[in-house]
Amino acid sequence: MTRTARGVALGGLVFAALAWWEASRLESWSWDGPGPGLMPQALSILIALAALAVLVWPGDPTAEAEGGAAPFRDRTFLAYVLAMLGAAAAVPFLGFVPPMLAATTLMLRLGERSSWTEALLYALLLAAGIVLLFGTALGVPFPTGPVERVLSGLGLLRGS
Amino acid sequence: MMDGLLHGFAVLSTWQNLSLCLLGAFLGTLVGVLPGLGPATTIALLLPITLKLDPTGAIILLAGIYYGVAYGGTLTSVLMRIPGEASSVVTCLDGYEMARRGRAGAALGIAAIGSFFASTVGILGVMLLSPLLAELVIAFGPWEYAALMLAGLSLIAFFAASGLAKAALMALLGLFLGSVGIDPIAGTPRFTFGIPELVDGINITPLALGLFGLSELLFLALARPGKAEILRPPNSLLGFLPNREEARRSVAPVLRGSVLGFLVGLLPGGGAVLASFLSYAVERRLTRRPEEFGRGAVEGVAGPEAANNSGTAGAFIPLLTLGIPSNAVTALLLGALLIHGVQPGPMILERQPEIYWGVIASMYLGNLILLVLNLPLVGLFVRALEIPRRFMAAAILSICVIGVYSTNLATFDILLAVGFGLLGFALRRGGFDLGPLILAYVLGPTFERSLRQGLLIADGNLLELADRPIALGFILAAVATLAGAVLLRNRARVAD
Repeated sequence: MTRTARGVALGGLVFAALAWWEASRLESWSWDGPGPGLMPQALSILIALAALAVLVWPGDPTAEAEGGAAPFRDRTFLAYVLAMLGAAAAVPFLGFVPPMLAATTLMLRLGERSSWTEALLYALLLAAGIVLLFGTALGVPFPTGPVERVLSGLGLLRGS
Repeated sequence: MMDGLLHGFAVLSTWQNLSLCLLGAFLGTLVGVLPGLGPATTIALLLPITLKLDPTGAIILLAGIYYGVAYGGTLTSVLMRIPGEASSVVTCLDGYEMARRGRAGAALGIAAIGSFFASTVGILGVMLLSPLLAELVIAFGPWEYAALMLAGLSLIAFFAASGLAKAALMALLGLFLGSVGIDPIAGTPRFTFGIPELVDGINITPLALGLFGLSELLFLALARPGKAEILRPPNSLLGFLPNREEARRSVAPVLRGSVLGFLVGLLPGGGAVLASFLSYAVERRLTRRPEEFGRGAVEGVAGPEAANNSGTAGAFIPLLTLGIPSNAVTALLLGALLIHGVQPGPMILERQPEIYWGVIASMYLGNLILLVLNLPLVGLFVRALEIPRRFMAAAILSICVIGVYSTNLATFDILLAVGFGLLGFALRRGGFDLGPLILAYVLGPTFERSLRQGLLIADGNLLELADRPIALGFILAAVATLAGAVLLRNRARVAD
């Protein structure tokens, strides 16, 4: 746990430096009082100090990090991360349904070693369920893509 | 007050609000049963659904989930020794041992009845104290508000389980994230990097869904699937009734837990988790049978269960009357209210009484629903544990994606949520508590606005604080809290 905590603290220091660099362009005090840069500048200094404190006192060295010792060697974990990143990257271009079909199949087939049939069937069922519950029943807007345009035309997406 | 409550029940009596109250209590219990998916994750996941509801309906649904979760976590604690959520951890100790001795029904019954009583005490407290507090706070100026928030943030650091330095880092990061977007006074864009979606700041939905929902998904991937042993709940309702001895021994712990939980719920950083642990410690100290604790002491179930439910109710006071959340879940409720254009605070009773009294009435009804529905449905809720991880994880990802998008209609927010999901994963692995981050993020803009307004009025002169006894008192309380936290932790380190 302490290794990750120290890593986060180092990240905090880098973040504080970048935040200070950006915040220093903003005025901290103007003729009529405190400016927009006052709070971010003060915060970036305090973040750096708190990060240094975490570097010194990172916590209990004997406690194991939540999630086990080596998550990046776990196939399921990697599949889930890939599905999340892939969905986030593809949704702006392809809409909701195709990226989520792919993400669910990836999670089940590669991450959970389900059969292709189960993975594809569940992906279809889940996408249909989400569309019917959120798009049709609740009228929640969906990211637009080719499939969503067809579904809207069929009256299944009320919010788009 | 009675007029207000009647108004609340009138608001609640529409079929839509009644259904939402029922749905919230049901969903809350269901999710409370599932280990890992705590109230914060559930509220974050369901936040976007409420966008289509009116503000009163939205808060009734989310409040129902909040107190339903407190109930649901008890089931798995008693029957499986697995806490559904953090405030039920203590119940595992004695509740499971009672169940092993064949008293599962009594443990669940005492927990349910005690929780109902404690919640009623908590709701009465909310009704009585909120108007008084609102009247007091109405005289607050910017200095008092800024100082109050500072005191609140320092208390969060004090109570944070992750240690002072880590909690401080999280709170500061939260404040920083809250400062992204258009500056509240001068109107200057800050940290937007030319991205139009950031001009209005970082929305609470991608932040909360990322930190709580998507990071949970990654931990779910790492959890080793295993079949836990489930002790059998009683078949008939009579099986949930405690015997005379158990009932007699539960009365005082329930009363003490109700009062203690309510008071702890009022504190920033307090709420149900702290309340249940404190109640357990109190009962263990007061009992004449300390040897029974950890081996099925009925007091170890009655007190903490009462405390966590009245703590849940108590946390609504600072939320509704001050606009200050006392924990991560109420921070999300505040975020939901803000999304709906409702600004909680001392004026809510005058300007939007239907929301205030609607929530109070829904709390009464929700508790009754929980008592009437939950015990007969124990078997059904426990079956939720049989949903395979692979199906649940993919559903969580889909709900997160659609939820994040629908709040702002921005695909950029999905990228933000995934980024926050990875950040939340790294932070939790490093032992950082995410509560202070989300709380500070929600409080940040008001804190900054109040502080800058105060400085503007005082022409930058901090000595103005000397003429503000209330603000000065809050600042001194904040300093004392931080100093106390440092001293206590140093003492604990030396003792170790």
